[in-house]
Amino acid sequence: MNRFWSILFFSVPILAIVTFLLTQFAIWPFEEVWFGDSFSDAGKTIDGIFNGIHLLSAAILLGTVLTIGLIIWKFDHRRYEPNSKATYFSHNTKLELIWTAIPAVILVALAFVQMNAWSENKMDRPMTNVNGTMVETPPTVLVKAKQFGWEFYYPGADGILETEDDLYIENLMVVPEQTDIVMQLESRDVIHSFFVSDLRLKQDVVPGMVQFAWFNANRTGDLQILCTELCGWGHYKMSAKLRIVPQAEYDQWLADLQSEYYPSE
Amino acid sequence: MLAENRSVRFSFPNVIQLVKLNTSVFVLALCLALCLAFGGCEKSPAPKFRLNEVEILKQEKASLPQDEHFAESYDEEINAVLTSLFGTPESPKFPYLEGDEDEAHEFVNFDDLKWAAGRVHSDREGRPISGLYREHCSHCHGITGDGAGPTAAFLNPYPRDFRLSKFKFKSTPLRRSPTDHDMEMILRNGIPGTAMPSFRTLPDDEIKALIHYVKYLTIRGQLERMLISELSSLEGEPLMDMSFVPDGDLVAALVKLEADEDSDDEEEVEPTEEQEAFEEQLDYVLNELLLEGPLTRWSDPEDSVTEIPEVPEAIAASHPDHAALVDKGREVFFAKGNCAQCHGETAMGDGQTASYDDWTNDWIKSAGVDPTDKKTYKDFTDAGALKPRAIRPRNLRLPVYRGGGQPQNLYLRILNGIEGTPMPAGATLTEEEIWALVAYVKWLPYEHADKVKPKMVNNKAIAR
Amino acid sequence: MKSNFTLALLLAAIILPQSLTAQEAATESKPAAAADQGEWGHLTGTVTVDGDVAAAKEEAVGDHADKAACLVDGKVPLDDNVLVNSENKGLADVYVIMYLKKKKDPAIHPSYLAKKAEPVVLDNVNCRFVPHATFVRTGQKLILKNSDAVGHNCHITTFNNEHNPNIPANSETEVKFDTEDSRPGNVTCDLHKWMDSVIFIRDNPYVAITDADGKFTIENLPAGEWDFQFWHKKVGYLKKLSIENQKVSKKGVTTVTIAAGETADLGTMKLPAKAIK
Repeated sequence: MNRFWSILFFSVPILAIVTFLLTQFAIWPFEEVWFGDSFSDAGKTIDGIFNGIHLLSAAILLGTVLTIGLIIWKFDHRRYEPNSKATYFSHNTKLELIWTAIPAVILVALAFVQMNAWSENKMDRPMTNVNGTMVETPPTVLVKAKQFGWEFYYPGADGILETEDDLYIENLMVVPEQTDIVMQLESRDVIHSFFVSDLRLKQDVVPGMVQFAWFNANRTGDLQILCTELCGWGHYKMSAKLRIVPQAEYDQWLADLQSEYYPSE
Repeated sequence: MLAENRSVRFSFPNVIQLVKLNTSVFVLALCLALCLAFGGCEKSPAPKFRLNEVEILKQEKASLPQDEHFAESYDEEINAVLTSLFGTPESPKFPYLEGDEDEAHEFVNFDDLKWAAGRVHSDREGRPISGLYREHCSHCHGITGDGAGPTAAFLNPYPRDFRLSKFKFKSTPLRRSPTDHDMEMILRNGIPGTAMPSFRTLPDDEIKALIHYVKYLTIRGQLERMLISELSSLEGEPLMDMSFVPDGDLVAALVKLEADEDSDDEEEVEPTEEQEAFEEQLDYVLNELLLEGPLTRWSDPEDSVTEIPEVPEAIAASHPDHAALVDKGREVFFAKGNCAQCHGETAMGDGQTASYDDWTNDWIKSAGVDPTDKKTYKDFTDAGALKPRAIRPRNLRLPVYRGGGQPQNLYLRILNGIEGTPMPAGATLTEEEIWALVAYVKWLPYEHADKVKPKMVNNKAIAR
Repeated sequence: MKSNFTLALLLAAIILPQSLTAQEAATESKPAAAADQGEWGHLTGTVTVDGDVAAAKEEAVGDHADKAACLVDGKVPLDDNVLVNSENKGLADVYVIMYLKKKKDPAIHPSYLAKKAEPVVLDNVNCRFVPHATFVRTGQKLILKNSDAVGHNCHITTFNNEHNPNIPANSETEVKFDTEDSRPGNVTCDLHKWMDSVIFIRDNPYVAITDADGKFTIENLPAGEWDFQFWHKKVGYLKKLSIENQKVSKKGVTTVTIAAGETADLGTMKLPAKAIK
C-alpha cells in the first residue's frame, strides 16, 4: 500500500460526491436525510440559502481534498526524485491575500443574500388591513412552553387572547392553511426552543420575554412540533402536533373547542 | 518574564488537578475493565413490584408494641398472593380475565395489559411491542404505580400513587372510580400546573392500553393494602398457606374449591385443620377482599357519573348578565360557600394552608408523627414515603385549572369536591350558586386585585 | 351466602348499584323467616379501664383564626379521643360489633327497620364532633350539622366510603352510604385539624357504642351463640380485654350465648390502661 495516504485523500471527495448525489436525489439509503418540502414559502427561501451554502461548501471541500490528494500522489517520496529534500520557506503574501480575500468575498455575499430570508422570517411581522390602516397581525395563538409540554391558548368568542374565555389545549396546535399565523411565544419556567422543521421555523422561548413568530403554511398536513433546547432532562419529550387544515375545518375545530366540555382532537 | 513566571505559578495547581483527574479517570477505566472482565455484560434483572413498606410500617405502628415488626414470612406471602393473582411487571395477569370471552374483559383488557407491561420494545417501524408504561409513566409513577419513580422526589406535586385508588379529576363523586373517559382526558390533556404532561401525540390504542394498566396497578395496590391491614389480626397464622397450591394459581384453586363444594360427592376425605384454614382464607381473600373491594369499586363507574346541567349563557363575559352572576358568585365565595377560608380573601390560595393531602395523611396520622419534624417520620421516609409537603389551596387568580378550565369541569370540582384533598363538596349549594361560583372563579384572574371582599350584612353582599 | 366468584363479578358489573338497595330490602323484609318469632335476647356490659390513663391534653387549637368560636366556656377544650369516667373508670366510645363469620347472617329484629328510618345526626359544636363516635347503617340518612358560627367540612374517610361535604356556618346537609365497612373510619375537618371523630358504617345493625360510663346495650339479638368484637380508636380491637367467665380470643373475639327473652350481661370488663396508645 504505497499509495495509502493519497488514495485515502482521494476517497474523501469521491465518497462526498456519491453521498451528496444520493441524498440530493433521495436514493437508498439516504431517502429521508433532508427535510421534506417546506410547508411555508418563507421556508423555501431558507432552503435556497441552505442549498447554496451546501453546494459552495461541497465545492470547497472537493477543491481542497483533491489538491491535497494530488500533491500527495505526485510527491510520493519513493517515486519523486529519491533522496530529494523538501524546501522550507515562509510567508507568501500573494497566496495569503488570495485565501483571505476569497472567503471574505463569499461571506459578505452570503450576508447580503440571507438578508431577505431573515427579514421575511424574523423581522417583518405580517400586517393586516384594519379599517384602511395596516397594523401588525394580532397573534392567532398563544404558545406557552413549560416543563415539559406545550400549552396552546386560542382566543374565545371575543377574539382577544388573554381574557377569561380563552380556550386551552395542550400539545395540539391547529391552524388554517394559506393564512398568516402569528404566534405569541412565552415560557412558564426555563428556556425552551420552539421548532417545526417542516416550516423551517425555530425560535427560542425565553422566560420573561414575549416573542412572536409567524408562518404561512402553503398546504395542509400534520407536522411535529419539537423542543430543541438541549440542556435539561425533559425537553426531548416536548413533542406536540401541529395540524394545518383548510379554513372551514379550522373554524369548526375552534367552535368545537369552545363548546365542548373537554377539548377534542 | 514576570508575567511568564506568574502564569507558571498560577497554572501549577491546575496541573496537579489534571493529574488527579487523570488518575481518577484511569482508576475508573480500570474498574470498568475489571467489572466487564469478571462481571460480564449481563442484562440488569427484570424490575419487580415493590412491597408497600410504608403501609406495613403504618400497620405495625398501629397494632404492635413499639419497635416490633410483623414476621418477615408475611412479606413473602403477600408477594406470593399478589404474584399469583396479578403476575409480575414482565408478565401481568388479571384474576379471571385471562383468555375468557365475557363482558368482564372490558374491565381490564388483557391484551392491553400485556402491551403496556414489560420492557420497552418496538418493531422496525417504531411501533411499540411492549413496555408502554415503562416508556411513558414509570420514571415518575414507578414500576409499582406507587408514585415513587426515580424523578418523583423532584416534582411538586408528587406523582400520583395509584395504590390508594384515589383520583382527583373525574366526573364521579368521591370514592367512586373514575371512568375510562376521565382517565383518557387526563392522559390527553395532562394536568396543567403539574409535571403531568399531555400524551396527546400517542395513538388512541396506546392511550387505552395505558388506562387499563393504570387500573390494573390500582387494583393490585389496593388489594395489597387490604392484605397488609389483615396482618394485625392474623396472630401468627399464615396469611395464605401457599403450600396448598403447588402450581401457585390461587384462582384455579378457588375454582376447584367451589366446584368441589357444588358437587354432591359424599366420599370426600376429611380435610385437615390447616387445609380448612387455607380454604377459608382463600375464599375470604378472593371473594370478600378482592371481589367486594377493588373489583366492585371499579366495575361500573359510568353509573355514578355526576350529571352536569346546561351551562348558563351568562357565564360568557360578553353576556349582559355576566356582571350580576359574578357578583352573586363573589357573595357565595365569601359567605355560603366558605371558599375564602382556604383560598383566602384575595383568592390567591393564601387562606388556611397547613393541610396535607390524603396520600400523605395516610401515614402522617400514625402515632408520634409530626410532618414538620423530620426526626419523627424518618422511619417512614426510609420505608419509601416521600417527604411530607403541605397541600396549598389553589391560587384562583391564575387561570391554570388542573382538572380542566371549562365551566363544566369547574362545576364538577365545586359540586363533588376533589378526592384526596381538603377541597370539600359543595353539598349545600344550589345549582345556580355553583354556576355563579364558576363564573366568579373564571373571572377572578382578570379582575383587579383590589376588588376583593364585598361588605357583608347577614351573609349578603351589599353594594359599595 | 354462597358466592361464586366469576358469576358474582359479572353480576356486580351489571347490577351493582341497584342491587345494593334491593338486597337490603330483601333481607330486612323477611327477618322472621330465619329465626322463630319472639326468640330474641339482649346483651349488655360495661367497658372499664384497669389502671391510670394519662390526662387528656388540650386540643391543638393554637392561634387558629377561628379560635374564638372553638372555645368551650372560654377555654380550649380537651382532647376527647379517650374519655374515661373518673368514677367507675368506664371507657366511652368503644364499638361493640357483632363479629360475623361468613355464611352466618343473623336474623334482624323488625324494630331495627323503624330505627333505620330515623336519621343519625352528627353535629359540629365548638369545633368538636358531637357525638364523638357514630354508627350509621348503609342506606340510613346521616345528617351533618354545623351549629357553629364558622364553616366546617365533614371529611368522612373509611375504607369503602368517602364524603367531604362543606358545611357552612349554621347549616346542615345529609349523606347516605351504600357500601359497608369492616371497621370504623375517621371523620375529620380539614379546616380545624384537631377535630376528629370516628364513624362506623355497616349493614348489620347489631352494633353498640359505650356511653360516658362505658356501658352499652344491644337489644333484640336473635337467640343463639354470637361472636362480638370491641374496637376503640386509640386501641384498635380490644384484644387484651378481660371479661369474667368469658374467653377472649387472640383476635379480641368473644362468644356470647343469647337466650330468648333474657339479657346476657358481660359485667364489668377490664382493659389494661397500657393498651391505650
